[in-house]
Amino acid sequence: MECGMRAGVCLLLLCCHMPGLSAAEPLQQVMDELQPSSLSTEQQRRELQWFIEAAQPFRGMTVRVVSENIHTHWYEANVLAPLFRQLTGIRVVHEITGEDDVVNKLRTQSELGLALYDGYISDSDLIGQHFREGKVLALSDFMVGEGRAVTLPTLDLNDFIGLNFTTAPDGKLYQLPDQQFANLYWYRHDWFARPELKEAFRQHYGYELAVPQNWAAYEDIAEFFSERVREIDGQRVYGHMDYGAHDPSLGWRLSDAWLGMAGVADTGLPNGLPVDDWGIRVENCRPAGASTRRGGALDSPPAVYALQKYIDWLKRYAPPEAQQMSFNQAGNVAAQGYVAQQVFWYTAFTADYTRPGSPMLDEQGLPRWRVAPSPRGAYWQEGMKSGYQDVGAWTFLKNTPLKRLQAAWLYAQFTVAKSVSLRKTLVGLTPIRQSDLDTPAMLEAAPRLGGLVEFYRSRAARRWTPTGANVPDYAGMASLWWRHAYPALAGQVSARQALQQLAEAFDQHLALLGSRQQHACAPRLNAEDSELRWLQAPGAPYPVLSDENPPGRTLPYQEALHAWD
Amino acid sequence: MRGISALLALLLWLCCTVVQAEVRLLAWERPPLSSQSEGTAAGLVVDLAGQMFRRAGVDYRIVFVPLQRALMSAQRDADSCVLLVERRQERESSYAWVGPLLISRLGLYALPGNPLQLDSLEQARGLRILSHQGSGGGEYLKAQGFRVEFSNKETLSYAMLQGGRAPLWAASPLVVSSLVRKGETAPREVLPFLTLMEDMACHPQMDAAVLSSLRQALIALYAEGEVARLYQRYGVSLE
Repeated sequence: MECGMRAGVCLLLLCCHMPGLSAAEPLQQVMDELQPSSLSTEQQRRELQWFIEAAQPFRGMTVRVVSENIHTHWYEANVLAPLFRQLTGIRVVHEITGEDDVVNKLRTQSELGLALYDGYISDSDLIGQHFREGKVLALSDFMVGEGRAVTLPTLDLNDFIGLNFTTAPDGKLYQLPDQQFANLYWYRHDWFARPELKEAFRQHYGYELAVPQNWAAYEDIAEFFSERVREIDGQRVYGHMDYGAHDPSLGWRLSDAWLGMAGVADTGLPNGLPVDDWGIRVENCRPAGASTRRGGALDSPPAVYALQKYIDWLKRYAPPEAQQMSFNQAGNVAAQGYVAQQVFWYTAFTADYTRPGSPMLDEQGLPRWRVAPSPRGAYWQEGMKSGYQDVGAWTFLKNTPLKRLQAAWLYAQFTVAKSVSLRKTLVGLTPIRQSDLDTPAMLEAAPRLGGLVEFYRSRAARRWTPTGANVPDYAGMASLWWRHAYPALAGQVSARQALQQLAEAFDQHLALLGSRQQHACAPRLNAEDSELRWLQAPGAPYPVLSDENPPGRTLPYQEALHAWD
Repeated sequence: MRGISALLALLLWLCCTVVQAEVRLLAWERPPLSSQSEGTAAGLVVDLAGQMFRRAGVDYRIVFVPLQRALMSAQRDADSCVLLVERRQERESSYAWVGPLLISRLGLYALPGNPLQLDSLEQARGLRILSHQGSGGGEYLKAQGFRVEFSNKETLSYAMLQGGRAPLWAASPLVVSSLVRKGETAPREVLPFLTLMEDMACHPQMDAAVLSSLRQALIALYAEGEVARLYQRYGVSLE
């Protein structure tokens, strides 16, 4: 049985449905599955015992939750939900679907008042919407109010490495992190170490084939593999991987990474202030415009540079099929062994790159690849965010009936409790707790994970941030990204025209929200002014650089990792 | 002058005709949600679509065609919509969406005498699962690597379950209850696994005003409890 869990627990779950058979000690058998743990055996037993007792009033209930389609959530649905039922008597229907569907369902439940789910694992990218619209439960209020009796005493919020991403500017916690993955540079360490390739690269480009520090070097390396090397060991290879299907995930691609790493935003963490990496300017906490005419940067020269590079590299250096791929289809393509590097690689797919038998592993079972900080665009400056990080977090709507909410909250805490989280992290590789990262088990796993553990253990990980609180309606605005960017990819309009239309659509949407949201941080647009005035003012939006293609710069892997010091 | 007036009148007529153009709803045989008998359309989604169009003041006409043809026509013909189809990420850009018109709680069903118990979808891996092509559930399971056997009618899936051709059937409570005959013990839901939202999928360039009025009408129907009442009439709940 391929169930992502230990054989004993598979047996336990099957046995417990057979008449005349019952688990002699369900708690012990649950503990057997949940190893290793950052807790001592006695601490883990006490914590799990707390769930058994706290769930007493809810025994026999069924709750429904939903999350996106990544390994971590399948482990929850297939292993943790049945274990939770075993412990508590609460049945959890944990559904897995596309991220776009999760967002649609959350919006539908919120707008139509339907009781679709009792809990969602939804990206923290929506935090700007949650605190402005008032439909999502503030967990920090709930935990000291109606949720007090069902809040785990050992939850230890400060242990969550992504808690600041799920805390809104009003200081309240709206979401509880369940899994995190980052967007990093990925490359074939083994190919980059081949003497003949190193020599050929140095001869042609005049510097070392190593981890690119800027987009110019990335582009050189992409050209080198796609157009000069072309074949390795008899196989056609490519120097770049991305995706470009006319699909919502095209929007995430651009809003997650490309603009931020091009250097569109102002300096300042988490997203740049007063202009963020979506190119939205805020005045105090009010979104004031995305177009350069209103002080935003969504159609500014760095944004045009970002979109143009995305298009050019996808068409020129990526495998031809990448243009028709979406997020999920593209995720494990590099694992098939014909891609040399990927500028923005989601670590959520790490499990595909470490699976036994994968061409991504060498004879010792160690990865042929590494992750490193992504190279920066020509406009990027020190002090800007260094990359994107996705924080999937438990999210509850206020219209959920209290008893169902309390039962679902128990399950949510179970999936992230210290009793569970280290085991879950080792399966899904999407860490959420510092205490897990500090365990010997994670250090032992590190050599097999190509730099992932080193990244998360570094202080630099905080410079990888999700979409910020400036975005007041992620669900509504995310769809504008792909609808307006695709025509540029399809060659129907220029990158500049596409971004001008996108910025205009953003401004109109912000104006609409401003009239609808009754919140002190609701959008209020700046008056239109000349682009030139804003471009000449300090900070973003930035004017065009005289040279967007500086010399390429690379660093050896170990030196590149100093960025994580 | 009379010629110019006539031309203006013609233009005005054409303009109004476009605004008030009849929407062609491409339904597909899918009892008890949508079916036709002697030229009359019936079913839960037919009723709901009717209420929505009437409230929006938009004329419509239902035509029954196979699902694949409906999906192609709604991409080609500006006055067409599919009634109805799952709103999936890969379909998002191909249509303009109005919905959800149907929310289904899909489960895996087994015959009452089958002692099979499942705690997770993973435990169904390796088992044969029956599904109606186009209902969304089978496509979902197939994408996850499950053994799915499609049929073009739910009645066929149910007959195959009864005949022991497969141990599991992916279906919604509405479909299951509609197919169980009097005196027959209904199949048992072994595992609920997916909530499916289905929308009306219209031509991407359909008149924005028409789409907006349909969406507003649907929101009003939900807000006033009309949708819930309609579901009850068909013996299902939105919960």
